[in-house]
Amino acid sequence: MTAKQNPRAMDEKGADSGPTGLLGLHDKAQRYCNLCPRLCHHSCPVSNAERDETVTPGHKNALAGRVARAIRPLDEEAADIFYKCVNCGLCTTVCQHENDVSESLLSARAVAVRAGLEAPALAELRRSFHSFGNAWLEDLRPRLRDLVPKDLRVGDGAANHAGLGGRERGAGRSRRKLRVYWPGCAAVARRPDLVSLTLEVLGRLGEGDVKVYCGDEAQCCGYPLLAAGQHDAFVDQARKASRALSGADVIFTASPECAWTFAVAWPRRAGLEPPARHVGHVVDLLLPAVERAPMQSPLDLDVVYHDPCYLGRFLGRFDEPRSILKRLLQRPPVEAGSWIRDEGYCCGAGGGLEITSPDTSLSIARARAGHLLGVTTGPPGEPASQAELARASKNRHIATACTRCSIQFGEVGASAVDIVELLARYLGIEGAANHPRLEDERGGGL
Amino acid sequence: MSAVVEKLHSRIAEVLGRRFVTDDAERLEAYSRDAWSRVFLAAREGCSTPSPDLVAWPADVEQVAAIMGLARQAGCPVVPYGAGSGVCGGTYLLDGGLIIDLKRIDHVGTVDRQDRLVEVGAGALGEHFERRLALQGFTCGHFPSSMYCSTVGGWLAARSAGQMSSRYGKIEDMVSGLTFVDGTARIRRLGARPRAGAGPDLIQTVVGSEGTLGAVTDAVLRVHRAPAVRRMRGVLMPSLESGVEAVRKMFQAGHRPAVVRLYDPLDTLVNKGKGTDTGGGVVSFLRRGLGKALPKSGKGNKRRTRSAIVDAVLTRPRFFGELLDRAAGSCMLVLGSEGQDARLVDYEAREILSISLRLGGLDLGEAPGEHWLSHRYSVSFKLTPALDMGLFVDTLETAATWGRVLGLYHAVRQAVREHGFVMAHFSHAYEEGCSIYFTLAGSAPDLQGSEEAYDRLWRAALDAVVAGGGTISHHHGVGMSKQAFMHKEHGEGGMVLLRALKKALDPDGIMNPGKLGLGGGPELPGAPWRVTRAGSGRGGWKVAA
Amino acid sequence: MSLIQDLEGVGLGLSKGQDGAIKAYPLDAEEVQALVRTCRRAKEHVLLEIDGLPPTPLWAPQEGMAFSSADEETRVCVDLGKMKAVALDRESHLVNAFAGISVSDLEEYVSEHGFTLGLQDPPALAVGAWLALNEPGPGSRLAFPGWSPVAAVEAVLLEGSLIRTSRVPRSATGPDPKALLIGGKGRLGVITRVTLRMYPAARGKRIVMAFADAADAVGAVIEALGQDLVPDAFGLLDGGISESVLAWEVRGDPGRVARVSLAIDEVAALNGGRRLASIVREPGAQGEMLKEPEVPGLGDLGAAGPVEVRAAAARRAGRRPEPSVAIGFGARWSRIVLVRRALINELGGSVRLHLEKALPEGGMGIACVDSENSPRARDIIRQAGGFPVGDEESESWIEGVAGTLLGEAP
Repeated sequence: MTAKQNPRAMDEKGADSGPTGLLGLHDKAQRYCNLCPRLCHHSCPVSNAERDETVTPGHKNALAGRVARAIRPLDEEAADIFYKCVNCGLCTTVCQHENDVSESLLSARAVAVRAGLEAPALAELRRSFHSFGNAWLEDLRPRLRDLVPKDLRVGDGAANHAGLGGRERGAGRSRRKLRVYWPGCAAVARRPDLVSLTLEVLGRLGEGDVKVYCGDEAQCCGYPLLAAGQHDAFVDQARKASRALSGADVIFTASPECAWTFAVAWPRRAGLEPPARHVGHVVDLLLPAVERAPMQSPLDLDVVYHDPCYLGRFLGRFDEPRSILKRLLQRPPVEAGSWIRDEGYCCGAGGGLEITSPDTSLSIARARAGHLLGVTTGPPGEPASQAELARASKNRHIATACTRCSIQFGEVGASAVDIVELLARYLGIEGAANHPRLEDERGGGL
Repeated sequence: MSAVVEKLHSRIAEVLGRRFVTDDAERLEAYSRDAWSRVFLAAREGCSTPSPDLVAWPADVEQVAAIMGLARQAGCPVVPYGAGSGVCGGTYLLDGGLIIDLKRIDHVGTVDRQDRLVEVGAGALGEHFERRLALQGFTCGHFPSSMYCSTVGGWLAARSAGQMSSRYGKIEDMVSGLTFVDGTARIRRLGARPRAGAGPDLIQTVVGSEGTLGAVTDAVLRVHRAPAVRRMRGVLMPSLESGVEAVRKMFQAGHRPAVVRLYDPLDTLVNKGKGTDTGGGVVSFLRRGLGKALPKSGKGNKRRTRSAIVDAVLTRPRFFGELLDRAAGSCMLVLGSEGQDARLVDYEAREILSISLRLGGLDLGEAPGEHWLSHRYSVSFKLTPALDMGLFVDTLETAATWGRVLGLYHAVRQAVREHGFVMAHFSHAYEEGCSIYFTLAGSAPDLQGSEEAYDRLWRAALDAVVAGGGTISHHHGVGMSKQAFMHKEHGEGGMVLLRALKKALDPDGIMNPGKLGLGGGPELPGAPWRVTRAGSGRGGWKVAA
Repeated sequence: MSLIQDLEGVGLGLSKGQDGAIKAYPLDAEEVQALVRTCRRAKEHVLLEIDGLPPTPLWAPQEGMAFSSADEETRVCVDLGKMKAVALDRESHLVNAFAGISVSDLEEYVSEHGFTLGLQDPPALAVGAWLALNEPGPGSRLAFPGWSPVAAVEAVLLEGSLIRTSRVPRSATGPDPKALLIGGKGRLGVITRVTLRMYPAARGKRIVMAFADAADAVGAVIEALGQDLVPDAFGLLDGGISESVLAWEVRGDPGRVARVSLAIDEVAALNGGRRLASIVREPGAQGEMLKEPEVPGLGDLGAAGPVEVRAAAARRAGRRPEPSVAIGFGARWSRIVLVRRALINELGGSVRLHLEKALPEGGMGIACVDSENSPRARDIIRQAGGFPVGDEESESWIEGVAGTLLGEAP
């Protein structure tokens, strides 16, 4: 991680590798939330969608505090409420005490799971990790290998418990750094096209030496397990991935929550060092590269930018994606009113909410997409309908830099494109116009 | 759960769907408090306050009317609920009942650009409403410090005022139309038309009723184009008297600056002349200021010593209050003008500055004004650490005509000083007077002591307010906390008229019983319950019909 | 004992009118209270009449079921003519007056002390009755929310108690009791004293502009109000097929007046307006917003001007004026032009609108129509989105409160 890492996340000390006592870490925040008139009320996508005081950040955290202080028992009702959080961190941003409700609830979930109160919807997640090593109920390794040319793969072949061997390979000062692109299991499972396009774009921009981890050891950073409160499984998964990635000098992820998990959650909750000296998001790599590349003719698209929570608030990357888009469009992207940058509004696909409360998750997505596409003046407010979103998507595209966000917006019928797709199209890469809605715009692609 | 509650629950579920009505204990707990400081004292000790039997989430006015009809048949008390940011205990159901959360009714319409009106659901949160207006190039001009956690319906229920009310008015000035379900479950639509000299203004008989007459579900509010120009300023006035005089002259000369805040000498000292609303910041001031005087020692020791000092100050408020008064002198005056036309805004800014300077003010430039603007909602955050330290902190807002305002200020300070720490600022100015916003703080060793001291302080303060010709509330409302003083505010005839209004619109008395002095409720400031760890008994509704 | 004897017993000045009504001349609120209480205790049905307001029954509705004949009612007329004292609070710019003084006399009184009530056209009506009727209401600036002319009201409720609303600038202590009394037509009580806001009398400026089309004039008003330019007094005369005339007056601080006038001029010009006159208004000047000598060319509007102008012209020429009626109405700005068009389309070219108040969301004024068209005109106004005055839904509400009040034991 660079200096742009979320300062409050990095300031927090006292990582406890076990769930016991985790709640105690958040005692002050819980006390403050208990004595506050819920001044973050407006910021929570979950309570905005459900309109229920019970799931406001203040009440959720005060509840965790009451459980921690044994004022009320830990029961199913409490556990259920602990899962009503997208871990977007907006409430912490607006809180002048910087109460980290998201972290407190992650701890509370871990305590609840330890007490046998795991949300039923999460049992399948546990099984999926057990059988396949990821959250997607299938082995993603063959698929990834299909997507990545042989010369770009590292870590494949036999399981490499000694890591990627970067240090052995390039012993001595002059060796080239081993730079690894980590597409994340969501991209491999749901947006494999993004993986191929990213590699092509990197090649075209002169960054062809970036490798992709294709080994057997790890397909996931462990974030879904962390969000599910499955603390032991998370630590286990983190250890596997840590072993697998050891030796990489720099890791760029496609999903920002992977970068955050590597750089912040591993040290904090699994007692592990980040897997490389620099962990960043792929925009870190793309921005300087695209700025070096010769100018092309601008994309004639109406693009609004959506700040992914983990990329923006947690990793501090507000300007990089905007700068890339400005280069491609030769004008700044449309901004989503005041719900931008450190007050960016979640798409609803964080914190496992899409598993524990799918209706709420999609309702958040519809409200956010409606706002981004100009259908509504929310969020929050009445979520836009699927038909409205589809109609509006003919004229405007949501650009984002997070696989989870683009999948989530796609789920509700909104046109969401990853910055990589736009870059590919800007660079004239064949196949880049396969995005159906981008094709519509120019009547048949490039 | 009693059979009567169970039956009402299932009948409401038939109307709204099972998802939208609950009797889950934790969800009831979430609705068992507002932001009344006295309740935080109990919450700090992990104690619960009386909770409702049911919470329901209707989606529109018809559903509100339907479930209110069911509640009326069952004789069940009803409280309309926004976001629970009220500070007067206005949403408690002492003997159980139904809370109607209106947040599903949160639509914000398209601004009619010719009439500059917008339709908004009562459940829209203030910050959401304002942001959605901003996207259309408009502002409501209503910025209470509860902006993030209060709803439009709550504003209307309590006659709320925003920080820029001097220019844009209080919420009662902004409302052009209302949809309202009265206590008989009848839907009434009022106004949304230009009116002057056309019969009684019924909207003003509903605004401020705090849910005692019915539930407001929708409103049509007047909005303004977002200001194109804003000029902020800070002036240090040599005395409180000169500051008050300056504000009076500004308004009586016809100026309507959006921001006018005059901090009393102590408040000016506490916020170090930065122009910030202090609130619970008094505590950090005491810790910081007095702590500096301590000899250097271990970090923990110093922290403990500081806490001890804060306690010492707050348990001897009179002595330390007088001490601090000696150290204090000048008063910070924060001014802000805004509008569409730079020529008019600049003129007003120049004129009000020159009025202040003529009365001996020292121009501090834009910085204090800008500082205030960027910290405008900080005051609410500052109360929490103070409460967490074991203090009680609250705010009292009153208003009086110019002839009385300084006398009222001194009288309240004198009365409160026996019981706690007090400082104030003057804001929300009008041609004939202005409001005074007191911050009150005190300390006692335990919960019972704190509650008693809190009640004593409030009683003394409100007695002084009434005797000094002020109102018991300028914009927080009455709720339960001040209802015992309603008859002093309105007199016997006033209460007769308000009770007649209540009886006409809510003949069975189901709407928010025990509030506003309209029947039931405590007879002294304070809560009528004893705090418990569990919620109170269910189903035995006692309604003052 | 009869009611009149009872009333004499409490020391009220009384006389008996030729029509059999008892006339009472109270000196203060306490005497009014004694009167109301005595009437409430009487074993007869008393109708209270105050200063020309509609008669108010003083018995509870359920009692009324037994007595339906008007013959059995005793009429008590309250004359507040002896209640005219006035006191000024110069520091807070308030004037406290007993209800019997007329608004115009009160304006004269405050103007002697360098103030004005700021009303566009202070009526000769007693101030209590003026408030009880709330007609025609305050002038433009004071009709703006937040600029209400009334700071406090004292009244004797029909049930017999005295109400004095708090004289604080604003409060948040429940519903505003003033709102039930102002415009309540005396149905809930007798207003005995009022506290009005007053303003330093200052020179003002009136700009008069002509627009080829009424819609342009309305557009200019919308734009000016959108820029938060608030008129102290206002008039918009619909010229029919000829020009429409807009008058906009600003008073107060000279620097502000100059700048607002300039801004108004600019707004008008952008909306196709042409300045007809710019008139300096001396402190305390009252009267009509638009007058012939002040508006060059207004006389020329003649045949095409509003019905009153035509009527005046006809009178001057010795002809019989055309019969017409004025229907008070209000409409949101977005509907004003629609209302006008609907009236003209349905009733022909003789219809004229005259807006007398500019409020944030709309205008209020009168529609002048030929008298036989009056009932239809109200329907047309309603259908086009306007609100004829008198269409208020408030009656039943107030009746409900009155019923509850009278149901209380005296």
